[in-house]
Amino acid sequence: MNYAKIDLMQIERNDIPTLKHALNRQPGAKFNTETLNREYTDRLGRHNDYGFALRALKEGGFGLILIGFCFVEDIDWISRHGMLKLIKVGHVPPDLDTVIMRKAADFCFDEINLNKIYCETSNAGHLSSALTELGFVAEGSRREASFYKGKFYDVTVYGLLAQEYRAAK
Amino acid sequence: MIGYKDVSLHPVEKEHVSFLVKCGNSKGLWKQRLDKKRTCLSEQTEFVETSGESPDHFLFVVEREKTTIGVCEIKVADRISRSCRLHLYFEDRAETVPHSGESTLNAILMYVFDTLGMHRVSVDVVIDDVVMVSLYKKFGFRQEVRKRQHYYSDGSYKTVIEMGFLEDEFEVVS
Repeated sequence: MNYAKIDLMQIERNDIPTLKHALNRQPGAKFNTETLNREYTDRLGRHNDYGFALRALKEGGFGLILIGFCFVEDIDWISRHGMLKLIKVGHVPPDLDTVIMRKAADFCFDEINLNKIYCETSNAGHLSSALTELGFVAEGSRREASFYKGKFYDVTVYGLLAQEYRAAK
Repeated sequence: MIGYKDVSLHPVEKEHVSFLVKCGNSKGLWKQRLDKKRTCLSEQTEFVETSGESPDHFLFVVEREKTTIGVCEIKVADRISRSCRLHLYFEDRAETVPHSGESTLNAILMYVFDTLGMHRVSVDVVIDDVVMVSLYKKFGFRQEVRKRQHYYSDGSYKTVIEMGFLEDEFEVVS
């Protein structure tokens, strides 16, 4: 399946079941519909984080398909940095990772004027080429910071500065 | 009582509110706390009155010989991974850290690992904060993440290092 266009859009109430399923795959997560509606659709007064649905137009098709979610969280407006989180849903091909991350980075740097974004992952495998292509730098690893299925794993932090992103574009 | 040698940690009380306000409005302490949130008496009074309500947030004042010398905040970052973040700041560092830095950190780490049952604790420190970096290194904290341009202060961005420490690595430093 090829996608012609991907965009960040408002999370709607009918996206919440998909979001709940994706988030509750994380260890210990127990989100219910009411909590997620409150957090992501009824977002009155929120100013330290953003959440979007990633929608794509199928090539040769009609209508937009939900392919994932993108969050910019823990924004420090003085130091102007935020944490980027991406969740894909369905069978989104890995070669779209760069496109998706670039959309998110464009929003962070060109729309809300952040100086730095970072993401954290205990398993960068499938994302590593997208991260490298956009210019993310591995800033270090938190030892044994994540517990999953009986074991502790390290969490690697990747950072990207606005000046690096624009230079790489 | 939580403590080590001549240093003790006490849950914040109303009598500590003026100290918290002073710390909250001190430019000199913003670099230790890595935020610039100014505060007022009513806000801190309300905070103290409700501080026991969150199970993931622990706030203590640090006392030496009945004098308040600093504040310690422990925030549980992930209950499942048993990891927490420590924020420790001293009011008069030139005087307090040489005399009480080790005892304070011993008391805190004993509480974090032996009482709270944490597996991991981390701290964020501005890279040029030599005093605190040395104190943490003395205990065995390791630099894990070098966060470039992560803190804005005095007109420029500074690097912040995150230092981590695991329960298996903890031994009381004397």
